[in-house]
Amino acid sequence: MRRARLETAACVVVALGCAVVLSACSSVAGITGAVAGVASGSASASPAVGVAVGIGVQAGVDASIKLVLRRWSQQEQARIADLVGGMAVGQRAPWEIRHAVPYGDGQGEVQVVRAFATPLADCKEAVFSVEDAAAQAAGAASPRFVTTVCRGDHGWKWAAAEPAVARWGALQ
Amino acid sequence: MMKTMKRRAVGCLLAAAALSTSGCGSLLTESASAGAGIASGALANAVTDNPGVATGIGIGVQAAVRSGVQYYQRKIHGEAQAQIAQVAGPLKVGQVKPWKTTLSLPLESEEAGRVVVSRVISTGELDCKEIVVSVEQSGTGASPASEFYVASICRNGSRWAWAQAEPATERWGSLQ
Repeated sequence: MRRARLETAACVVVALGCAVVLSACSSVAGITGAVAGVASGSASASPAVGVAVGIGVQAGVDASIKLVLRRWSQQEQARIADLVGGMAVGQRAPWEIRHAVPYGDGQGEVQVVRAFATPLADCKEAVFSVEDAAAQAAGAASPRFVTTVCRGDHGWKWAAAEPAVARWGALQ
Repeated sequence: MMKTMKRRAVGCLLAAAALSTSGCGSLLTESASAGAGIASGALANAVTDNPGVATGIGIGVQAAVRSGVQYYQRKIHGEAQAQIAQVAGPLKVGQVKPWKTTLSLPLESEEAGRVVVSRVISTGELDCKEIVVSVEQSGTGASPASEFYVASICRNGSRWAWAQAEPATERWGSLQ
């Protein structure tokens, strides 16, 4: 029994490793859940326990990965917003973000295209590019995006609001 | 074993309900659907000897609850967007007005703040404006710091509606 459990645990670890290597971050949760479900189902001989553990692990991993990815996006947004805040209209500067784990790093250029003051807050509109070394080597141009930042109590922050609910589509 | 699992599932749902007011949407969806999937998997296992059927029921219920929760989150968030757009629609450039959301379900915290029109994007048949929204109060307490967001609204007939398009697919990141 103990040996069987050890084997299933080893199987989980190996399968998890494969999952991380083989797939993009977002699908890890489903694979981890499936592996955990199969492992615990075979260890306990009860399919309900297998389903419960599988679903529980999937939900837990899913929520944690989303939390980490969101934090990384937030850091990237903070970096760009901070840069834009200190720049004048027409000015251009490089931006770069490096995370502790070398995943989701980014760099490119940002240019302020408009500054507008409202009775509520000062805001700026900027165009930024995201450079991908592999795409650049293949001769593709860096994609460009437009965003807005505003100055709040804690300095300049990303201010692009969420899309209209009718346009959420596959986002949720 | 089964009992503790059911207890955990119920605990999970309760925690999710508590989190929902703090705006932890993805956690709510995950916990509610996972809890329901686990509970129904356990129930199905009690009435059928076929492990495949029990697993199918568990996963099916999980998927159904997930899309159910997402449907209501969408509905509630749509209400909030419509209420801000209604306040901002008739304003002139530079004019400030307070807004407050009143939601039909407590799936999100009710918020309040001010809104100003920063630019008229287009007039005539395509009547659209750019607005700056501040969120000064979330739930019952005041927000620790006022945050600002920029969005677009357009007039559809007599009603103003949120018109911000989705981010480029390359920029979805952890949104999906």
